[in-house]
Amino acid sequence: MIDSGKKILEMALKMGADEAEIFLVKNNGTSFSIEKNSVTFASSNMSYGIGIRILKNKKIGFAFCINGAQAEAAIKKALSSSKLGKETRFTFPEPGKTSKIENLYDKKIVGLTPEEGERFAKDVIESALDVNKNIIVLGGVGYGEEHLAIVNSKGIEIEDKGTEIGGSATAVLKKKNTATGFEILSSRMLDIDFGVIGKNAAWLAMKTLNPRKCGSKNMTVLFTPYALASLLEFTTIPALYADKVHKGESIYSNRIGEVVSSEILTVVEDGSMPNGLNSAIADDEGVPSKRTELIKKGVLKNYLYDASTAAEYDKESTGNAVRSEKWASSRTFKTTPSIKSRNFIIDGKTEKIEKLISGVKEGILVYDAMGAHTSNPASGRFSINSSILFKIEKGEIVYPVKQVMISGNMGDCLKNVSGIGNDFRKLPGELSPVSVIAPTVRIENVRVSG
Amino acid sequence: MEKIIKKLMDMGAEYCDIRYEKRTGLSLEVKDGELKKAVSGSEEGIGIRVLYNGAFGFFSTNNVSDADKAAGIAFKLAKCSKPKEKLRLADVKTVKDEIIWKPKRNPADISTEEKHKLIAGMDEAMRGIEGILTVTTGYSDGNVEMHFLNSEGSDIYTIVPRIVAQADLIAKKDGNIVGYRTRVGGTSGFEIFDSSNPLEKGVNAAKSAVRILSAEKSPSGRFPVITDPDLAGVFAHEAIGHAAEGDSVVSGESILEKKIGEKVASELVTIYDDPAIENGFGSFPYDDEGVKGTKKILIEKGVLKNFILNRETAHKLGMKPNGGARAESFAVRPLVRMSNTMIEKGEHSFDELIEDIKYGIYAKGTRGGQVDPAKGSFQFSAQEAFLIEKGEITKPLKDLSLSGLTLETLKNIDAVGKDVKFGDPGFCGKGQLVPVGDGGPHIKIKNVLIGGG
Repeated sequence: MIDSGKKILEMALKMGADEAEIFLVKNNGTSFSIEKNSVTFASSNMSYGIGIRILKNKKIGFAFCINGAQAEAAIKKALSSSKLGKETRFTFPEPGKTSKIENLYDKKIVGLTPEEGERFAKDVIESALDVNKNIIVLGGVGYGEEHLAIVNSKGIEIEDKGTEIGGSATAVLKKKNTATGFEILSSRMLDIDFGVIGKNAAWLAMKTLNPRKCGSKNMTVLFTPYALASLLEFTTIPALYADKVHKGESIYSNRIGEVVSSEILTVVEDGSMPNGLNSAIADDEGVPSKRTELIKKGVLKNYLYDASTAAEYDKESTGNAVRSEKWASSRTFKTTPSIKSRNFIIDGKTEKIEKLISGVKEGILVYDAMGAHTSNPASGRFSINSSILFKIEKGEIVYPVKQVMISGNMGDCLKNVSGIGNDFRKLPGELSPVSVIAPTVRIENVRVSG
Repeated sequence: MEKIIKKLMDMGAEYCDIRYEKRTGLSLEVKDGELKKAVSGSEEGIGIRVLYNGAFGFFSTNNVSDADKAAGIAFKLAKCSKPKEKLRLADVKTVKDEIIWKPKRNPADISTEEKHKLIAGMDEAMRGIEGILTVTTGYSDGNVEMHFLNSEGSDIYTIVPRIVAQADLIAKKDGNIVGYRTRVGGTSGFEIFDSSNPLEKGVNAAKSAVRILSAEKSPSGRFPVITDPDLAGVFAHEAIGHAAEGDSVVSGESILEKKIGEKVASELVTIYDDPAIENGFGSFPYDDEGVKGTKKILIEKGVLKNFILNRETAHKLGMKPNGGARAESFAVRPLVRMSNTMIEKGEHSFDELIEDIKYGIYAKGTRGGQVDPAKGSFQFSAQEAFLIEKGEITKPLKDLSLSGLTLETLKNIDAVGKDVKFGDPGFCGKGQLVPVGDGGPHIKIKNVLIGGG
């Protein structure tokens, strides 16, 4: 693939580009859908494409195509679209030192047969029905391989490949009322127990039968990794993107060195994490992946940069250029890179989850965060709906709770973090490629309306 | 493509269809006066769906020369899933048709410079308003050429254009930050901007955002609420439309399951989904199973009448397919989806709706929402809101969101306005993103759970 990239690069330079970058990506994936306790649909997709970014008279142009034969026409389009832009300080990144990352590619995933895939989906269903035969399971499993290459006129020549596999289930249990539970697991390696997905989803549904009212007041809220990841994806994470920060569009603008969260909290971004869902040797413009401390013991340390934002503000790229469409979680050749978190890690002074709960006088333990995507990342405000949650009284989980609305400001919430659990989970993004690695986190004084 | 269909049927398939698509388009993004993105390109590809022994297999590729191989993989996948209940498709008429929706002002005939000028002009006008921190405007046009063939002999060729201009802005004052979005779009060409001026909408959005900056925190608790047409449309889409999607009904996830013919809402409420609305953002001539897109009345005067169905769910429910199968592109399989979801107009003027509210909320527009169709709960955030005191709008509120149970809320609608409007066009996500429209009149709901500050 790198050779076709080099040919197109040469062609772009010959056709008049001052500099150029060719991004090639090939995906194939297979998935099985689960509806009403049955594997109802098997689907597979193959896609190949080329994104061509050029600089001409210090102006950027871009176009894409789906095979080498169309490259010439795409280069023409990219050259012509560059005329509209303004002059930029951006140039393509220089080659950097990349190092191998463990556990991103598993031949066993590539070799899976459709029959094996279908078996995984059945494992999800059967393990849920083992918990309770009246449960209705829906969800699916999927796996695939991605192969990509990036070459640019500065000498970057990168080729990388990766695999991913995952499954999710929602379990619905209808008695007097309807209870739901869910579980999701993802990995780069074939190390997932699909039975666990069905079992956990089913148990959560069982435990939330017969919920009681909770009432409206400010209380302690324990966000499980699922709910926390949803909230972070649409509040804190985009607020750390340097392009937004430098425009004043973030609660973290001009606050490097300030205390922005509880001092027990540390937040790290790491595109080079072994088995990370978005790990790769380099980002989508060829900058080597690395680990960046964003918040250290409550103090804001850094923002996330791609090469063009870094050039604009005299900073270094943190390796966070990602090519994905808005509201989509997969990589694409059809758009230019923009800043995205890849693996966003919540860490700090952790303690056992039991201890986290035992310290609560009155609070709730929240599993789902419906509507997190309606949050306002500029102000940090959110208002979510949760219907899978439990009441905590005097240090113990006492009963499931009926639907509540939880609202507040994520900036304030991070300051009110009073405990960090040790039940770390690695979760895929909902509407973006961001993966969040987080445990249950306890936050004081959150508005709950029920 | 006919050859592939024949080959699959010879191999023993019960049914198969092929969608060939060619998508071309341009999208531009301007941020604070600077062109940030200009992306053009085209993609073509095929998706092949095969039914074998009551199970579907699907394969797609953007390498059309791979079609033969693709058919083989789709067949193999169909053979490997063995559902407990064999899947059948409800009968539909065989269709041979060609429909080309021609825009009056074809974007292909308009220079990129002019398109750039349109959003650059919006950007400048909006940033001219005091209190506006940043503005991101976007323009995109696209043309989808589709050729649908199935083993029953249907052969449908369509071309559908779609165009959007939008603005996202952020207003800031004394540490307060407010975001606001507005959008104009439809299945048409540049002429849409003559009837719905994006610059004007952008400027109004900017003024609203500045007003929200000094707004008070919203109270929380239960209050009577009036929603504007935009939010009424989102309610119709999120709370009722999703529950009326045949797949969630069949899988036991919908609160509307087994309720056809029952009263599920106040008799003032009529809700429909209609892909045949001219220029609607969610409109289409045929769905992605070759079934004509027709109007479906979901709730009529409070009584549940119909669901949104594809051929599979229609068969399971013993109902007639009504053109509800849509796919984001050739690359993915069609799912049961909405098109343009609307609440029918009622009899009241806005003044009549508001006059007897002592203390309540007027909520406008939305920043999005979500539903749990199984529990029938919904949550959405208003774009803008006002307090109503003694029958009058008194002051702006910020960060207001509404939630509740759909069936309870439908019964609590106690007055419907006579002023139907389309809301801003949007994209609905359900694993796949498809363009949708929605709208309705102002509606009054007796009580809704409000959360906010």
